[in-house]
Amino acid sequence: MLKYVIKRIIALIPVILGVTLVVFLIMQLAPGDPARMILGEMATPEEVAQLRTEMGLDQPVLVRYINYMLDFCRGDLGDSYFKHRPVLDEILDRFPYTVRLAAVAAVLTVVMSIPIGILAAVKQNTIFDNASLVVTLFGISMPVFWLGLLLIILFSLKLGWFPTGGAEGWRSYVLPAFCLAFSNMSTVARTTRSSMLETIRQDYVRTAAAKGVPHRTVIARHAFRNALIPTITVIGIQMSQLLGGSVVVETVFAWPGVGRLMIDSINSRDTPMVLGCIILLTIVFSVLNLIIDLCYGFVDPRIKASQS
Amino acid sequence: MAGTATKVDQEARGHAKKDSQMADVWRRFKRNKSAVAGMIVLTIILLLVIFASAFYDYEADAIQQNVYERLKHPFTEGHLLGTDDLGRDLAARLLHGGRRSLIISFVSVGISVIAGSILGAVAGYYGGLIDNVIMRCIDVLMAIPMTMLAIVIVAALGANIPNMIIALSISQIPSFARVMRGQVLTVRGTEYIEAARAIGTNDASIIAEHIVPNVLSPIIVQVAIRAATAITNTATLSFLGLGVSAPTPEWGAMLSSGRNYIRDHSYLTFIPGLAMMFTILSLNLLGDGLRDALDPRLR
Repeated sequence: MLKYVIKRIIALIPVILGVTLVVFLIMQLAPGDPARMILGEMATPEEVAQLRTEMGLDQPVLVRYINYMLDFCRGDLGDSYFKHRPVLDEILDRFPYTVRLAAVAAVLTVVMSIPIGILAAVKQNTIFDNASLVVTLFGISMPVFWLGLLLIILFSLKLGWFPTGGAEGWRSYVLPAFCLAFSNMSTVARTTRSSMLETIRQDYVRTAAAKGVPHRTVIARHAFRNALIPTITVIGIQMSQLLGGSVVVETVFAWPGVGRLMIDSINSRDTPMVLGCIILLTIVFSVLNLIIDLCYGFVDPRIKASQS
Repeated sequence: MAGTATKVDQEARGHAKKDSQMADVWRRFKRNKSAVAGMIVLTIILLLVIFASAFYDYEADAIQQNVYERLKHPFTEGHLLGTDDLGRDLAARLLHGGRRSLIISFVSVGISVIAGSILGAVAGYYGGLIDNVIMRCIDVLMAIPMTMLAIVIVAALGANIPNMIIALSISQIPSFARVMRGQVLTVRGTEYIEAARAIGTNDASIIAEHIVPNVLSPIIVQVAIRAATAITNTATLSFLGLGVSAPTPEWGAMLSSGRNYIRDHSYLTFIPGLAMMFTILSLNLLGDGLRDALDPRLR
């Protein structure tokens, strides 16, 4: 098992190198001269040229990439063009906000979706099942930012229950976390439902019921555990949506996280900051995927066997 | 003479088989009420958007500003859905804006399905080094969350419609490549492919004529689902200020500008979102229906 984990972690390195290279190259396509932007329109060409040399912008792209990666390994992601502080410091200040919001949203997703999925499957074709199908269908079809704005209109402006944005107190978590969780919840609930339906019809479940095992135990012990694999896979996939969605939700709710930092930095053309944000979010995303993969082993012993 | 007759006969039978397969899929699709509803709603939306100019003139109704008609609520005289902050008819902007949203989404899905399928088919068919190189590149693209990849590409290239299409296409290529590769791997070793190779068919025709038609169902389903995602992502880019620029109408951009009037004129936010949701909803229903109709395991 440990060997497998180490192998997977080593396999992450080329992916992260590839991501940094791709993003680095994409950012080089951006028009405009950063040195000119920092100094403003009034600066003389000599001043701009001097700053370009200081920033290493006069070197070839590949050299700059290698220098960037060497600094990266030392924990230095460069300095922000406009905030006059290291990129890493700014990101680390904002990161806890993103993590907290994503964690609340993830918990909300799991807590809401799995019971809904199980109940919908157990009570198939009842009004609860149909209602949950309709709600989850809307969940996957609503653009996240639109849902966010609707929540703001209803719960902040009309009812005044929650703030429209910011990150102060537990109230400020409610709307963005729900917004982030809603579409993920729908996908997970739908998957749980269909996978439960498949499992419930299996022979061993019928056998357990025939032997007189209480209905609750059959559902919870026999069916649920085996129905969980597709659910976990989908939760893993939804983590990417959660990170991608956090960029949007943080913008809608003025949440001071990394996602909003990234959008702000894109608008101000703060390239090192954009690069830092996306690399960090990608690493988090890859590690999360790794953890999800390892979780399979705990749910299904057969997978554990094939891993080691 | 007899030989020709048999050949004609075989061809006829071949056609009948093909027709009955399509008919089979259609019969199963028709039984699924929600999928049919999705198809009908999508068709109506597409017709409205394609023939937008028949209802509203682009320049006069969707672009021309009119200070005297500012912020009229829906169902006021002459304006079915009201007017926006610059006095432009919201219904006109919705229809003409939908045209852009849908063109960007569908064209990007079209590009990514072609590029992704070719990459996936080549990787799956040849295996070995080619497979490794292609799939490691795909892994790198997959490692970046899709929306974020599109955001970064547009941010670097500049916000306009062609760049949005490029960004969305690139961000969607991995999912098509993966599906295609998986499908090709399952049929690669089958006897009819071996037979085709034995009679000297070249690789390109084997892939194009023998493999692709047999692995098309999951790709078709994926197209419907991805089109829904592409509409969301198009709107997301515009909403974040990385999409079409004013005064061009587009659903995400309309939503974004309506946001400034959210307190008293929430219909400016509500209506474009509703249009988006119905389009995405109908595509999802259609995708689900197609998946069930094309999945032979349910027979």
